[in-house]
Amino acid sequence: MSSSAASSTVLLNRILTLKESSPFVLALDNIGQSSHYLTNEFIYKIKSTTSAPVSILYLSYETTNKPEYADEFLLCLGKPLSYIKDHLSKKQQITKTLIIVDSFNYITDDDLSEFLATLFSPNTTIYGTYHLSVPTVKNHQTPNLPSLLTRLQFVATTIFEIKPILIGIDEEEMEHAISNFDLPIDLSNSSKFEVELTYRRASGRSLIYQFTIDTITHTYELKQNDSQKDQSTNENELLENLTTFNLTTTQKQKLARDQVDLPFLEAQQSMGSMGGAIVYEFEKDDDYDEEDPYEDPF
Amino acid sequence: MSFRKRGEIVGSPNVIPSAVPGRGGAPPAAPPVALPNTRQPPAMQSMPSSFRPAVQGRSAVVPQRGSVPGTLGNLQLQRPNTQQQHQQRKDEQPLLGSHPGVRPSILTSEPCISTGSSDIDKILAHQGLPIGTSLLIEENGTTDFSSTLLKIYLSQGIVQNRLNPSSQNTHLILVGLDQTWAKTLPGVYKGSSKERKKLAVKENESKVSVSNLIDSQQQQQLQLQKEHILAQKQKQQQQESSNNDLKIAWRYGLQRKSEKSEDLSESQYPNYNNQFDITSTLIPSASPKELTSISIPTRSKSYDLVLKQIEQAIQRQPPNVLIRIAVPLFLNPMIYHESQLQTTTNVIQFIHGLKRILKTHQSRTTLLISLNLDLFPRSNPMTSLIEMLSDAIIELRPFDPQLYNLMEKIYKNQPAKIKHGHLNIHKLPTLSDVGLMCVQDMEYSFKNGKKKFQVEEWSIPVEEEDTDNHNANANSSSAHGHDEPDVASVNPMSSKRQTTTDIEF
Amino acid sequence: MTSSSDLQHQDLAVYQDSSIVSHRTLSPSYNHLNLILHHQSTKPTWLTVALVENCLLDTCYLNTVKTKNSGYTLNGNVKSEVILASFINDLNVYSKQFIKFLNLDISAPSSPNFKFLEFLKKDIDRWFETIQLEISKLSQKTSSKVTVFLENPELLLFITNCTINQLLEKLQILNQQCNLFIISNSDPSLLDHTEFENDISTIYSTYLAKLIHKSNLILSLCPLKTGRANDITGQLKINKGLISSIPNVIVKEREYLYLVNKDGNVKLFFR
Repeated sequence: MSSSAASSTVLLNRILTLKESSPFVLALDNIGQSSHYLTNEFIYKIKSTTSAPVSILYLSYETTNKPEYADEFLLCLGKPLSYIKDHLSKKQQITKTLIIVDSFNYITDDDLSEFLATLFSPNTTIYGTYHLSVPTVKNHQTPNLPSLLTRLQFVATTIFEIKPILIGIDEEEMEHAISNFDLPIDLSNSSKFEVELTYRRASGRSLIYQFTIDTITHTYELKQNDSQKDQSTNENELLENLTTFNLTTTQKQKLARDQVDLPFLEAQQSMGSMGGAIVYEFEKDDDYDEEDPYEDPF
Repeated sequence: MSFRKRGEIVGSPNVIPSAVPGRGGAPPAAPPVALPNTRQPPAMQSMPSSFRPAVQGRSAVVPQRGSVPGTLGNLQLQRPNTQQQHQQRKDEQPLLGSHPGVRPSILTSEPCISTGSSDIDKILAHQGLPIGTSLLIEENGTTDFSSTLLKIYLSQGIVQNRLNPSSQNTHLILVGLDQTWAKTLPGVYKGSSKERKKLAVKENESKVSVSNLIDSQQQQQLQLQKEHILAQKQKQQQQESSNNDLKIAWRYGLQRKSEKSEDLSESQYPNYNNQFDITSTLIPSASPKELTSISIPTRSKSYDLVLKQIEQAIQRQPPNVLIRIAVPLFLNPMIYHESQLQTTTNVIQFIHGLKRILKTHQSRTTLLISLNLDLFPRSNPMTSLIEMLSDAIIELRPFDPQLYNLMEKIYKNQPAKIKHGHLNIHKLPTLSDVGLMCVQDMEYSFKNGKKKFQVEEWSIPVEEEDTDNHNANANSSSAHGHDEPDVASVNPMSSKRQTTTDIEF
Repeated sequence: MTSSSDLQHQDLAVYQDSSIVSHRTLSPSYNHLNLILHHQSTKPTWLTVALVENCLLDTCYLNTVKTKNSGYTLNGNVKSEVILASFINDLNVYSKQFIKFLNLDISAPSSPNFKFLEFLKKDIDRWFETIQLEISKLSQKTSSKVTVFLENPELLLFITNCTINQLLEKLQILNQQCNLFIISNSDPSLLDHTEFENDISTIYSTYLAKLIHKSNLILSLCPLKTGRANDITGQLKINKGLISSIPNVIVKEREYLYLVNKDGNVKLFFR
């Protein structure tokens, strides 16, 4: 177990330092926890650990101020696709490039494929955010086509789904608060948050881990899968310290217990096979009167 | 409760509350800081010297400003006088003094007009609807109480307009419905049958009466002055007689208390508000000179033409004429046929356009709109947008049949206590704009009575078994004060009937 | 619940250094986008006046002590020039408030540091050009940064045939030249979106969600969830925006209760 925890953090580190080959990193956020902090962590990792220079191209749809780390900052809101195309074609693709798209929500259904095709190229990693808080609409011309989000999730090689850490509030309350754009105090948009990382290997098989990321200390902690943890720990935790006796079972005892055959198991197999029928077998002490019509047990 | 509160304000209309508590709080600093921002009572305003020491008290702020004038320019410290004086700069003042249907708000001193129902005026907190603002009346269900309110709002305008036949002072604009609807506007309440008899006697004595005032306009021109005084006298007498009644039933006439305090202002603004008898009709009915009706054109794609016509109708009137605009049954599919007219952009453009007209002519225009909530519930974002663009909003929520039956059962002997529904307030003019939270849900009830649209605080009906004695008393009091009982059950039907006929054409 | 009379009257503070409009936000290197969200029943007029005052004079009528920030000296300039542009209110609503609280007559025709614009009577189609012109006029005169307050620009989405992205683009262009405060309605009925593209609530919540994702600060006013109270008007929540701006400009998240009484006086309390 500890080995898989280690490998998962390594994987996260490798993705964030662009060492793992993952050409399209998608971040999903909502107004409860913006991808802004993850982006900053991403940039911090690249700048601090990567030896080869990475040029960063920032395609802005919603960012007004040019971030310091961006080598190039392109205001794209209201501009046609060809504007980006022209810009990219002028560029020499020598160094490793990170293209940041601050929000995919501004790209129309029709443009998405072309947009992504424009950006994809060897030696380039695309990192973009899609805001889940922005309502999705059905296109009435093509009601059966997959939504923008579905398509993005399908194409992405790495997906970070970002959530705030909930303290003193349950998920439902948080969802309600987010849908009303009424954020709780000191919970949302903090520098420490949870992500669910979905990493797709070359084969397409997905690995899913959950982390808690602290962007101030730059530490990542693997969050144990909830359901697994619950089953194993719950029972033991419940019995521990309940009495002065030891009520818990060790692994060995559990194994032994599992091997014990329960009584009447065999009986159930042969005799019980007849279902619920009454089986009467005459025994010698039975006082059975053949002439009594009312005493027929059958 | 709030009625009494308002009474307090009425009692001291000149004391405009100070602005200071919001700023002052640190006890030592508070008294000197307090002065400059306080709207001083009139006596102090006449003494400019009272301003000086106060400025020194603000020493933390003043040096800053003192050094600024060059750059701050016109943005510098100016001593605010009373609000009235501030408004004088705008052209609102002429109407405030000269128009019989205008009086200052008891809260903000803005010029206000009466909606035709004194109770609605009261719950609007200003004792009327401030000129330049709009009131949205929302109604649940299929009843049509809101049209009653719109009708008395228009009637009130006509009655005031006819005070002086030689010059017009009010003009009505009716949007969506035509003159046929306008013919059903209610007439002035002429008192109970007993009072009417008394009046008839007086009529014989003086040969001049309220009804004569309306019927024989020719005569009036000659003895206008005289009659005006007489009408006033009559009103006073009426009040006196009702006061006598009150003496008998003073214990039960709680809600009358507020009216007493009103008497003061009523004598100051005698023609501000009338009582209307919704079973009668205004005679003669509104002439095209008094009322412009603007129909919703069939097969139109937008409201541009309607807005233009409203604008033109206003501009045709001389600047000292008050304009009352009524948009009854807004978006009712029977009137607004075209689906094009129901689209968001068109509706919001229209409401915004109306607001623009109100603000462009804000010294003399008011607007009432009624909207049915069954068609456009408050959860509908379009309703939210319409509300956003309205200055005041009240909601009429008629009781469901069970509750109404229960009330009828409980108040078998006191029909006057039977109400027709809840009245909710969602927005109040000026106050909501400033940031006050004015929502009052289920706090008031309304009753569409024969002689007035009554609004009272809502109290849950309690079934009492052993109160025969009490009932008898209360009964006599209601019989004394007003003769409503029979009307209560008739009215909703009659108003309904009116609208169905309206819609048919 | 405790009644407001028991509670201590509090000062308004937005940032960690107890400032309301921090001086650091007025640095030319970063333009801020701040949101003021309100419900229909809790209009933010009093808050807007307080923020405008703080932008101009660095004081706040809500506070008991008129704090003077040490880093700021008044050398003949205001802290920031202000444009207040409203799509829903006319000058009347504000001028009364300014006179009442600040002794400032903003209806004076031409003040060099403050400009009120309304797009209710004027040509609403030229709102963008008008504001841009005013910004350039104001910023020509001084070196300090202009702050623009826009009240209910969302109406443009329904009155004109302006799309969400077009509106956001224009707001962004304005934001590149100034700090922007956008006052918008956040009534739940407007946010209850569906999958229909032309549903008002869908348009509205898309617009607001996108705006929130760009924001550096969110101030929201809403009525009490428990209903109307005589001694409390509503709550004011200060949230940091989704985007952190520049170092040392740190929003202190907190909740106030506030009371606006019939005279228009405002008091703040801690929750």
